[in-house]
This record gives sequence, structure tokens and C-alpha cells, in this order.
Amino acid sequence: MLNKLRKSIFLLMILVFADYNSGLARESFKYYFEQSQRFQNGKITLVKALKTIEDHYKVNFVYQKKNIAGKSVESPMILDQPIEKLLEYLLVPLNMSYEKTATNTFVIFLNTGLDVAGGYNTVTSKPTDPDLSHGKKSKSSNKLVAVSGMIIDEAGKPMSNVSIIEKGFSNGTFSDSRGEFHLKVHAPLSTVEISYIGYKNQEISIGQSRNLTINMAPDIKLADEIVVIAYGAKTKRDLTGAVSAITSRDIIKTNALSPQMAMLGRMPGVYVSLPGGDPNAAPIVRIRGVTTFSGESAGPLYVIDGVVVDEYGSRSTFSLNAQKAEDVRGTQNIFNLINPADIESISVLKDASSAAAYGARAANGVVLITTKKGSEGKSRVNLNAFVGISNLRKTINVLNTEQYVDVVNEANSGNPDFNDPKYDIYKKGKSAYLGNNGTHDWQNAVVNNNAAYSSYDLSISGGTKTSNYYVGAGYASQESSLKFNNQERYTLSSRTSFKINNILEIGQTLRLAYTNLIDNRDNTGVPITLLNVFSTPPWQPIYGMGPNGFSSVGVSQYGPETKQNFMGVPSVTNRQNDTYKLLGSGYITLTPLNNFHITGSIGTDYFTQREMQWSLRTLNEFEISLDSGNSIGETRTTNFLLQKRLSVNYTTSFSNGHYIDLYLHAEDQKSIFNALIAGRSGINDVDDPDLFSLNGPGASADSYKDKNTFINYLGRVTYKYLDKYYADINVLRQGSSVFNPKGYQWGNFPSIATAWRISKENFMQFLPVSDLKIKFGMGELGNSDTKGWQYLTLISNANAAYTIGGIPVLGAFFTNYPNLNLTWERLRTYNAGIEGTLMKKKLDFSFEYYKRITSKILQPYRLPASVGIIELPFKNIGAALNSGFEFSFNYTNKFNGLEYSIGGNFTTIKNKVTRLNDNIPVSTPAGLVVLGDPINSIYGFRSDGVIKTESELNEYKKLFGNSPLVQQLQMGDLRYVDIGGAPTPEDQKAGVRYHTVPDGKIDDYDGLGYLGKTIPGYYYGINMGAQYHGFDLYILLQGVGNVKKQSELLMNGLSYRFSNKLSTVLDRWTPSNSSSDIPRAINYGASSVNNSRLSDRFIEDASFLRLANIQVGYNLSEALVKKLKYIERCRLYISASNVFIITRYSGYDPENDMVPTPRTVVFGLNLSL
Amino acid sequence: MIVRTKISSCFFILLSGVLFWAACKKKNLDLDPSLPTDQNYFQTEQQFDQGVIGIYSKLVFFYNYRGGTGQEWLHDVRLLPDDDITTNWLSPFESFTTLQPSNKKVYDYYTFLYQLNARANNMLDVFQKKSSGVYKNNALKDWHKGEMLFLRGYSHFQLWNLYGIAPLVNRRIDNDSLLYTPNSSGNELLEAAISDFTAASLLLPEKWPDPTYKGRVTKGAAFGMAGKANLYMGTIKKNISDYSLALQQFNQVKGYSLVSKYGENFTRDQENNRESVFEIQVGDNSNQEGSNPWLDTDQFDGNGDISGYWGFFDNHWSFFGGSRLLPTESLKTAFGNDPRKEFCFNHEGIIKYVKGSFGGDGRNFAASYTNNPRIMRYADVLLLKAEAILQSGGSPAEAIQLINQIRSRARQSSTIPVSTPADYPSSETDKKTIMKWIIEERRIELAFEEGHRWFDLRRWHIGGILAEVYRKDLDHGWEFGSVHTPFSFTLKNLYLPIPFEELQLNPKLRQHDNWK
Repeated sequence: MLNKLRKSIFLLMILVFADYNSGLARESFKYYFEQSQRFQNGKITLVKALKTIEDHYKVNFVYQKKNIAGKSVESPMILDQPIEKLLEYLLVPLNMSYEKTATNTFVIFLNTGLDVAGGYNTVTSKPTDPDLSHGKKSKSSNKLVAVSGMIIDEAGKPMSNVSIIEKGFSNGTFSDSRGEFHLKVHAPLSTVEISYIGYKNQEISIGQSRNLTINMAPDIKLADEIVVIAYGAKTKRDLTGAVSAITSRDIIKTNALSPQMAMLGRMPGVYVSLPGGDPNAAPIVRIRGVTTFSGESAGPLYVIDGVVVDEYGSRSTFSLNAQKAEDVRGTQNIFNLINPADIESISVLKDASSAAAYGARAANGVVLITTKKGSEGKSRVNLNAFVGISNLRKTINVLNTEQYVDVVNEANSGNPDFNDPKYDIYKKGKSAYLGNNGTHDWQNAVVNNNAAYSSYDLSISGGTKTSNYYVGAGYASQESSLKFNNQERYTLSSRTSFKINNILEIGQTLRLAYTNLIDNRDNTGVPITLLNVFSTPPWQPIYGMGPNGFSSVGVSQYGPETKQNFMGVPSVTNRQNDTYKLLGSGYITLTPLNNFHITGSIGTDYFTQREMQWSLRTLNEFEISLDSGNSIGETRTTNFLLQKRLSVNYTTSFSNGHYIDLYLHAEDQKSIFNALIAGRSGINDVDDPDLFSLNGPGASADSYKDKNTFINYLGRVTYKYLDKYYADINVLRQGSSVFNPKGYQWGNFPSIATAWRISKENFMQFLPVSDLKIKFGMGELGNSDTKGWQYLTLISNANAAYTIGGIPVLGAFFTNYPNLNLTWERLRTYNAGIEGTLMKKKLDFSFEYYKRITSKILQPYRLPASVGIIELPFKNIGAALNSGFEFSFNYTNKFNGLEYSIGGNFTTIKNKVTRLNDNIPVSTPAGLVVLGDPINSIYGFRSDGVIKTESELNEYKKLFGNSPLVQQLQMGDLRYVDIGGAPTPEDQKAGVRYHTVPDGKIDDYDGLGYLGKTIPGYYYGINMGAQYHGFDLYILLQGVGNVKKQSELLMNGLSYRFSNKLSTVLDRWTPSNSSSDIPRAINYGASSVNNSRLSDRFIEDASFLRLANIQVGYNLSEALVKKLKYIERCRLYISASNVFIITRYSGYDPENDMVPTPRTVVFGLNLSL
Repeated sequence: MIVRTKISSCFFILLSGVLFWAACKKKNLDLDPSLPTDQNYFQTEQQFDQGVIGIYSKLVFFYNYRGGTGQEWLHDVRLLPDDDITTNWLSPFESFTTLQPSNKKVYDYYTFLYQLNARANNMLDVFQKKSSGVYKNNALKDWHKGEMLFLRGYSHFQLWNLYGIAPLVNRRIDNDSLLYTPNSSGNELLEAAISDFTAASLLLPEKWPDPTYKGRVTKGAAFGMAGKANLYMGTIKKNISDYSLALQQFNQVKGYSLVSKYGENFTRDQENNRESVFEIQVGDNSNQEGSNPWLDTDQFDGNGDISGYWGFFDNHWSFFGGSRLLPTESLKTAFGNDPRKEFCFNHEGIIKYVKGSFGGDGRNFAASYTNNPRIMRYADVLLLKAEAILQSGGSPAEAIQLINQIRSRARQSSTIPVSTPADYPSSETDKKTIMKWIIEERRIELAFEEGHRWFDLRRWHIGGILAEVYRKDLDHGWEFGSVHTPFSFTLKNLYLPIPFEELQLNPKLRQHDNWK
């Protein structure tokens, strides 16, 4: 498989390379030809030319023979260009035009002498002397001539701000508000280029005409090139900042229920980590490194149709900590509530200038999701459906019962403590002996084979000249890779807009979603993961005579060595989540003057969740988790965000080629979170949870609430000169309620981005470059993700009761150490890049360098315990640097009816902590932050194999001085490297945690060694596509490199504590297997502690390359489709994701050992009516 | 035409300006906090009372289960180092061999003591700044302050006994310059404890007005603890004046007496009896949201968990392999036929506080018992007083009489008439002999209770008393009775190490020399 893949990659590369060469050759040949044709008369008849074109482009021409006869054109023709262009090239000099009448039919006719625009998508200008247009193009003969014209859109209305530039010169202008333009050109040989966002570019030879009427036609293809940016859109070539985008065509290919997954491997600078097989888990998304120390505040801000979507607590925004919010609500990927089929495009704004408009929380990038809207024309109906299955790729080899008992006995031998009767289960001959119990495969028991996966959605869209609509509905369901969870989702969305008159436009988006999640957990309420399950002792039976057909549900069946029955527990407990989401927005735009818009909008993100859980008391074994009787709990959370914005936009252009776009807005955001938790325990004799009432003894209730607000003011000037020089300047002023009102709430964040389209310069014209742009930008953004009211000393009444007079009395205490000066975390970004299009627009590339300097990083940090406060205080604690390169390319070509493309992107990250409060390391949920090292790295002992000889043993014992460990160390124990000792005051000043000179002792300081980084050093994606006669193929490879992971699996599976072990321990050190580097079996005392310390033994390389997606589709041929009435397009496909992974990581999956990401195969249908 | 455009432009620009101004009100940023603050709280007696209760609530942390946090109950920190208790569970506090500065219990105990300390300091600060005019009941004002001082004193006292040179924090930490406190030196912590207990003893009531206050500390408790701290000081400094001061304070412990039967001290229905001088109140809030012995008490909502944990005295399977605590052979021998034995251990293990099997006294739930730990009983005071008399040069007969009071009550505790333990002859004058009697009596009477034996052994070692009485010392031939091999006590074990984590977080802090 792998070999084949390598071969095909190789073949593809050869193709690309060969074509690149031939492209260059052709380019130079053409040049030569153009030079030489002035002196030679290489002509063929028009009849022959048209025949060739018919064959090549598979089109039909209709013409009157008399019009064609006797006419000849120059040969050879260049065929690999749009047919319209070619026809123009041939017909205009002959004073002829064409009109497209059907998909593949063109009517050719003689011009009648009237100066009219020529039908669909074409423009004709009428040179009176056809020969002139083919004359010499020499500057010396040119004189400046004034031309003027009128530009109208497809509806015949004048278009303003359309750019008109003379090719090869630096003169140009824009059309004014009446659609008119005036320009001096080097007539009569001049050609002007006319362009406008969303419309086809046109090149028109001026010839003798002085007054042009130009029809602009919307470019459906170009829609890809339009990139949605903050409050607007630009063509890709006009971008100044760092923005990556994908459109619905790519999004639909992922077959994922969550839109974030569509970004996987597709965008430079965007890192997406798969969330595993739990349908509810959220992927981790990071844009250009990790700029802050912890949590989802390092993640991007998500904006859907202009509405900020923020899951309470997921970014530790509020005064309750994120963990608590998660406890209350449960983890949830709220993006599961957005149907990817409704999405038109996803843009990722990576630098300060692009993201500035989203103000607060945009520092770590913005993921801008734009949903589909209808367009003018007849109603379109789209149906997408797929069904499929998913399976885990691997299980881990563990010991069987016989091997397990052997290892346990060896590990316990020699310690009298294990003579306790409870260890009789491992002693042959004792009645409790379990060695003959057989081996029970727990992993396969919990794995959900052929987990079902399906999605169906239907949308209808359409519109008129003044209104449009889009309505979509979807249903999806997904089972987890383990047998405990599954999710169903219903979505409904609508988007409409209406132009009431020339002044007023209103619009609206609304999406509703409902998900039902079955979320069974273990008897402590923790999700069941393979990491827990794999270590269940193999002698422990799964099924038996216990309740519901399981051997037991609790933990006691075989005494304390038994684990809970992960299959049995969910049979007596249940947890369900119902989530209801409403995301909507509405706007009114006033256009009192041409090019002057005032827009008011309101958006809300509202979701509410009801979680029900209940447990049935069944057996005594269960008394651990349930004191008595059944229990029921219900949690309701409400998340509400209200966003109000008023914006003013004014664009103007000047006849000398300057263009200015002015945008101002004021925005107000308010977020509110509420939670209500109620429960009752000790309910007897009722088995049906729906019959429980919360009223009664043992009832309890609790609530949380929280809120915050933001205000943003933004001013943005976009300046452009002749499609050549660009500048965007943003000034953002934002306030956040979380900071001290006395001077710390407000921050100002300027940014600028500039670009120079060097390809537009004359001196670049001789190069075979279609487009080339250099850009540079820098700016600042703020981040305020912190708990609220940190500037105050807060008093809590919770959790501080004490029994007085026999009853609990409520206490009060100071929860925090206040920080009055807490303020905005600041991120400064630098961005420099070059991007362009080569080889006649077949190859796009971009290369960017970024640098992101975070200062005043907001972070909870630990104070010495002697300060005596419980909550970690927040502080602007340090600074960090992220930098790297992004490279991406995309190549498309045709080859004998085969259309193929190959694209790729590669991103590097260098990451370093440059300043830290008092040089004291900060521990975060993701690792440890140490000055000078990459953020969230792993630290521990460095192991040095096991002790194999007496002399090694004696030598090693010396490192422990008088420590009692010396008495217990034996051959077969792990040996660590003495890397240093207690820091000197100088070390402390320099932020060094240990003195790096070996001190002849192995102690805790030797456990501070740097073992690796957890943020990948680089990541990449490669995608390939091909189309041939209705068949299409799509392949996506994705990978990360230079990253380490601390493997919990190894830590559990290589220890000799009670739990099943990895089968690699069979090769452990024993006197007869003395060359092994796996420590001896020992389960007590100092040696056991010594061998299981966190060391590089448990750290693995987590780099991988994954075949993320492979898809083969077939478009029903048009002939067939035509027979099926009403159907416009029908495509069938089969798609597999996460097909294989190449990695050195030994666990289930380098990204997730808990519920690993399964391999999914789906069969799907796309239908358009 | 141009003029008209200009006018309308001006108009709309003005309009948008006005709309902008109206769109966002700056006051929208000023939100009221979700919790009260130190500025607006503490306006009433009741709120001050809550502040005091908040300090008390930390006491429970040393006794509850916290199984979910890595089974970090803390009993072994104070119980296992001594020579009375052993266990076949693998605890570094028992064998000393694997004890490291990075041990989590070393860190947790330390952390909780400073949280207790900080809560007291914070309340003392608020009390000083805001209490004037708030109290209608001036007596209550004194009592509250007395409680704050007492509880802070208790944190100092424990810190000195366990960690020796841990930082002394004696004020509210409210600015960055106070964050990193260096080590205390020598006996600073013990001196601070004496000072706080003494100050508290002058403020607290002899008796709180009615049973609804039961469980709050009293003047007697403060005098008792002040005396004990002074006695410790006397022991280690071999200083008669400290002993004399201790004696004066013990004499002030009034209103208490021995209950008639020894066993009445350890059952739930006899909590806060007339012999109980200072007792930590553990409760039962199982019927309320939030009782969750698997979490730290402040990790869960509602009350937090307020129950104690005595699981180590039992051996139910549900303790996840944690074996019961066992009396050492030497202790069994020391008990002989003493009738107190039947209240302390049986053939299975230690039964003090948990008479009966699983579920035992208190609630029927493994991890959540409600029997109060008795921190200071009057019997303890009497024996301390005997020691103070003896060491300060008082009448040996008076000291012996106090010991005999304990022995006499022990005899009465038996269901059948017994003659052991017999009274000691009051004619004895050999100081060493009488000291030996006191040492042995404390061992039996206070067996398994709250670290008394370990704290005693430490101070007697430091003060040279063990060497004098037994010709043996903790690091020279002392029989700890551990069932573990290897076992290794060295002098560094007189103190717990300063936690490794704390050394990482506080640049001003140093490790004990012996632990380096």
C-alpha cells in the first residue's frame, strides 16, 4: 500500500515537472512565434480553424458559409485558453463576432457595423481597420488618446469602482458612480484590462473606438478566488494580509460533521488535531503556533456570518474556571451544531491586520465561516447524503491471564506484604486462584465495530434581482468508536436578503440545531476511554451471572484487584445531553449616497443544554458510587451572546487611479452564562428514571451565573493604486469588562498591511509570470481571556462550611489574590510574503514568513503555598515568540481530457518563552512553561537503560549517598542520568531550574531535564485531485513532525502496579534475560518508585503522516442526466478518511489514546435539481 | 450639484457619528462582580462570624478523604512516623525510605496549613480595619478575634512540629512584595504559636453561651494549647521558665474533667464532652449537594465536604488496597492488660474512633465518617501539666498524683473490676523515673491519637530526654516497630522536607540542610 502510494506520488511529480517544462517551452515558442510572424504569412482558412476548435473544445459552431468562405487566420492557434478568448482573437480582426446560444454551441456572424456589445459574456469593440490591430506594437508610434466608456453590470445598471487599466502601462482609472470612466491610452494598439470583484476580467483592444460600452458578467468560477475577509470580500490578488480560505467544494469533501475538520491539512499555518472517535469531542485548532500559555485562549475565534460564537468556559473567559464550566456542561464541540453543507467558505485570518476587525479575542486568529446564500436565477435544490461505517485501526497487545499472573507474582515476590489473603487470587493451589479464569479481551469488548455514520441534507436556494433565499435542513448521526456514545443532529438554516429600494437593504440568517447525545460514563462519571479499559486484568470476566448479563457492575467481585466493569456500569447508569442552539443575525443597510453604506446589525448565539443522568442501584458492589437508592441529576445551562454593531462604509476612487475604502464600526458584545444543577439521590424502588421527581428527600440544587462585555471601535482604511500598490490601515480600540475600570479596561491596537503587485510593473512583463505580489504587514492585537474581577478581592461562601452545634454552618473566605494591574495581553504580528501565479495560471504559490511576539501573557500562575490562597491568580506573566514559514502551492493542468491538480502546504513553528514572572515555571494543563524553552514542554528524568552488572550497580548506588534506596536497588532497575543539582542563586536569577553540573546525586533536580516539545515543529498537507470523463479522485495527506508526547499508555502499561501490562514487558530484565532494557518486575518499595518516575522512557515521537482522505466520485454523464428529468447533476462517491497513519508512536494514535480516531468509509451522493 | 453632495455627505457623516456614539455605552463595561468583595462584605456580625467559620472549615482538610485526588488523605503524615502504629501499606512516612521532598502529602499538608494560616490572617486584617461599629455584642467581638488568633496559632504550631523552619506568615499578604516569605529560623514558629494561643486565651470565653455554639474554641483550649506550646519550648530549650509558664497556663484550663470511662472519648454520641478541650468538628452533609469525599472540600459546590475519614482504622476492600493501621508489637507489650486496650485495638487492628466494622461509627459510607478527631483532651492536659511540674522543679508528688488520676480512670473504664494499671507510689522522687512514667502514660492514654506520640518523641529527642531516660535515642537504637524492611530513620526525619514544589515557587526558600 505504502509503496504504491509512493509510486503514485512520484508519478504525479513527474507529470507536474514534465508539464512545467513543456509549459516553459511553449511559452518561449509563442514568444518566438509572435516575433517571427510579422515577417511570415503562416495562415490557414477560417473554416479549418473553426473545425480544429470544434474538435478540441467539443463545441459546435453555427454560421453562414458565405460569411466564412475565403477568410483566413494566422496559424498556429493557441488552444489551451478559454474558448471565448480564442474566438475573440480570431474573429475581431475579421470584423466578426460570436454568440453562445447553448452550453456548447456558438453562433458566428459578421458585425453589422453598429457599436454594440456582443451577447453573452463578450465584448466587442469595432476596429475600423482590422489590419491595424495586428500591426506592430511599438511604443514609438503610440500617442495618448482619450477614451471614455460606460460599464454596466449583467442587469444593465452602471457599475462604479470598476478598475480600468491599460495593459503594459501604469495608467488606469475607476468608473465613477454613474459607471462612466475616462482614460488616456496609447491608442490605437492599446489594450485595457477591466476588473471588478466577482466579475470576469476582460481585456479589450481599443483600436479606433473612443467610446466603449462594456458589459460585465459575473464570474462563477472566480467565486473561488474571492476571499471573505472581515466585513467584506476581496479577490485573492488584492489581499494584503495573511488569509487562507477554502470553499464549499473542499468543505463537502471531508465528510465530517464538524466544520473545523474541513481545514485539516488544507491551509498553511492552520493546525488541526483530530478529536478522536467521540462524536462530541472538539478538535484542537491553532493558528501559526501557540502564542499564549494555556487553554483554548490559544485557539482561534470563530465567527459565523459575522456573529462571534463562543462556548462559555472553553476559553476561560469568565470568572468561573473552564474546568468547572466543563464539569457543569460537559465537553461539547458546539461546531457539531453547524451543518458543513450550509457553509460557503471558511477563511482563516492569521495576522493582525486581517483579524483586527474582530477585536477582543481575535489575537490567535479568526476562523470566519460564511454560509451559503441564494443567487439570482431559478431555484436550485441540492441533496447531499452519505452513509458509512467507522472502525478503529488498531488495538494494543496486552498480557493474557497466564502471563499476567506470572508477572504479578514475580513483581510481588520477596515482599511479605503480598502474603495478605487478598493476593490469594494469584496463588496457584489457593481456592481463590484466578489463573485458570481464561483470558478476557476487554479492548475488543468495548470497541464499537462498524460504527454507523450517516448524514443527509437538503437545501433550496434561489432569488430574483432584489432578493435571494437559502433554506437548508439536515440530519446526521454518528456512533463513537467505543460502545458508549452516539450523537444525532438535526439542523435547519435559512438566509435571505431583500433590496427594498435603492437605499434600503435588509437581510437575515437563522440556524437552529438540536443534538441528542448519549454519553455513558464510568461509575465515577468519567468518560470511558481505551486508556482505562486496556489495563483491566485479563482474568476479569466481562459477562456472567450478574445484573444485565454482566459478571458484575461494580468493583468488588474479586476483591480489590478487580477493576470496575466498563461494560456493566453503563448498563445501570445513563447520561444524555440535549442541546438546542439558535444562531442568528439580522441587518439593515442604508445606502443614502452611492458608495456610502450604513449598516446596523444584531447577532445572537444562544444555546441551551439539558443533561440528564441517572443511576440504578443494583448490587452491593455499587455502594462505592451510590450510597443508597437510585439517583438522578439534571443540569441545564444557557449560553447567550448578544452582539450589536453599527458600521459605516464609504468607498471612493479618483480618475488618476487612487482608490480608497473607509470602514468604521462600533460594536458591543455581551455574554451571559447560567447553569442550574439539580439532583436527588436515595430514591428507592423506581426503575424508570422518567418517573423520578426531583422533589423529595435527598434533593439538592445549585446554580452558577456569569457574564462579560466588550466594546470595540474600529477604523479601517483600504487604499489601492492601479491594482499595483495596496495598503490597509486599521486602528482598533477595545474595552473589556474583565479588567480594572481604573485605567486597565481599554487597549489600542493599530495594524497595517501593504502589498505591491510587482507583476504589474513594466520591468516584469518579459517574465513568464501571470501574477506576482510581495506583501508585508505588522500590527498588534489584544487578548483578554481571563477570569473576571481579578482586580477585586472576592469573598466566597461556597465550600467553606464547618460543623458548629452539630449542623453545617456556612463560612466565608477570600478566594483570590487580587491583581489591580491586570490588563490586555498583546500580540504583535509581522507578516512578509510573496505569492503569485506562474505557468499561465496553472501554478499558484505563496511563501510567507511570520513572527508573532506575545507580551503581557495573561496566565493563572502559582504562588508559593505559603500565601495560602486557593484560586490561582491571573497576571500578565510573560512573553513568548512564535515564528516560522508557510509555503503553499497549487498546480492544475489538463492532459488529454485528464484534469488534475496537486496542492500542498507546509508550515514551520519555532516557539520560545522569552520572559516569565520571577523566572518561575508555570504549569498549565498542557505542560510546563519554562523560560527559554518551547511553551508547554515535557520535563523529567533521562533514563540510561537498566543496571546490568554488579559493578554498574555499585557505581550507580554511589549516586544515592545515604538514601535508603541504596538498600533496594538491584540489577534490572532503571538507571538515570545525573544532570545536575539544586540551583545556585545565580542559576535562580537566570531562570535556570537546576544547576547543570552533575552533583553526584540522583534527586528530584535530575527530574527537571528537558525531554521534548509538545507543539509540532512543522506540519503539512498534500492534496491531489483528478477528473477524467466524469470520474474524479481526491486524496489528502496530512502530517505533523518534530513533536513529542508523554504516553499515558506506556506509563500505565509498563508499570507493575495492578493493571494489565503491555506485552512488551514479557521481554523484561530477568537474570536470564539480562540484556533487556525493560526494568525488572517489581511492585513495591523504592525500586518500584524509582523505575516508574516520569522519564524519557515514556516519551515518544508523535510525528505522523496520515492519509486523511481519499475519495473517488463519478458524475453521471450528461446524456444520462438529461434522460432523468429535472436532475441537473448527479454524483456518486465513495470516500475513506483516516485510512492509515505512518508513525513511530506505539500507542493507539499519536493524537489520541483515549478514544482514537477511527478509519471511516462512506458512500455518498450529491444531487442537484 | 457638488454643493448638494457635500451637504448630504456632511449630514450622513454627522448622523453616523451620532449613531456611533450611541451604539456603545461605556458603562456597559462596568459589571457587578458575581461575588461579594472584601470592600462590601463584613458589614455585620453575622458576616464576621462567617469569616471565622471559613477559617475553621480548613481544619477538616487534614481529616477528610480526598480519594479522587490520588488518595491523598493525610493521616499517615502525623500518625505513621511514630513507634505506635505501623502498616503493611507502603507509606514513606512509615519506613522513611522513600520519603522525598517531592512527596505529594508533604506538599498537601504544608499547603493546607498555610491556607488555614492565610484565612486567619485575612480575617484578622479585616477585623482590624472594619470591625469597629459593626458589633453590637462586644463580647462576641473579642471571641471572634480570639478564634482567629487561636486558629492561626494552631497553624504555626503544626508547621513547627512538622516542618520546623517553614516560613512564618503573620499578616495578610496583600501586595507583591510579601509574596515570597523566607524560612523562619529556629523556633520562630513555635514562639508565634505561643504568642497567638496566649493572646487568644485572654479573649475567648470560658464557655460559649449555648449548645448552638458547640465546637468553637474556648479559653480553656487556648490556655491548653498555649501551655503545650510553652512546654514544647521548655523541652527543646531545657528552660525552666518555659515550663513554669506552661504550668501557669495549664492551671487556667478550667471547667473540664475526665469522663468516667475512657471509651466515652471516642464515640460519636460523646463528642464535645466535658473532657474534650479542643476537638475538630467533622460533620455529615451527605443529604446536601456537594458532599463528595473524593474531592478536596473546596473542589465541590455547596458546603464542600465536611466529613472526616477513619478508613485506615478499618480494612474494607473498598479502600483500594490501602491496608489498615496496626499497633506495633512494642505498643501491644506496653499496654499489657491495661483495660484501655479494648478501646484501642483488637486482633484485626486499631479500633479507636471506629468501633465496629465497615461503616462503623458515623455514616454507612466508607470514605465519609463523622466521628470528631479529639485534638486535646483534658487527660492530655493533666499529663502535660505533670511534665511541666516535674520539669519546672515542682513537687514530684503533685506530678505523680496527676498521672495516677489518669490511671485510676483507666481502671474504672473496664467493665469488670481490675487492678491495673495500678497507681504509682507518690513517694518517688527520681525525676528520670517519673519522666519515664509520664512518657509511658502518654503513650498508652493517647495511643493513636492525632500525632501526639510522634510530636512527643521528636521534642523529647531534641531535648535529650529520650537519651536521658532510655539511654536510647531516635537515631540510636530506638525501636520504631515498623513491619517494613527496609526501614531507615535518620536525623533529617525529625522534620518533613520543605516541599520540592515550594522550593521551585519561592526563590527565597531553602531546604533543611539535612534534606539537601
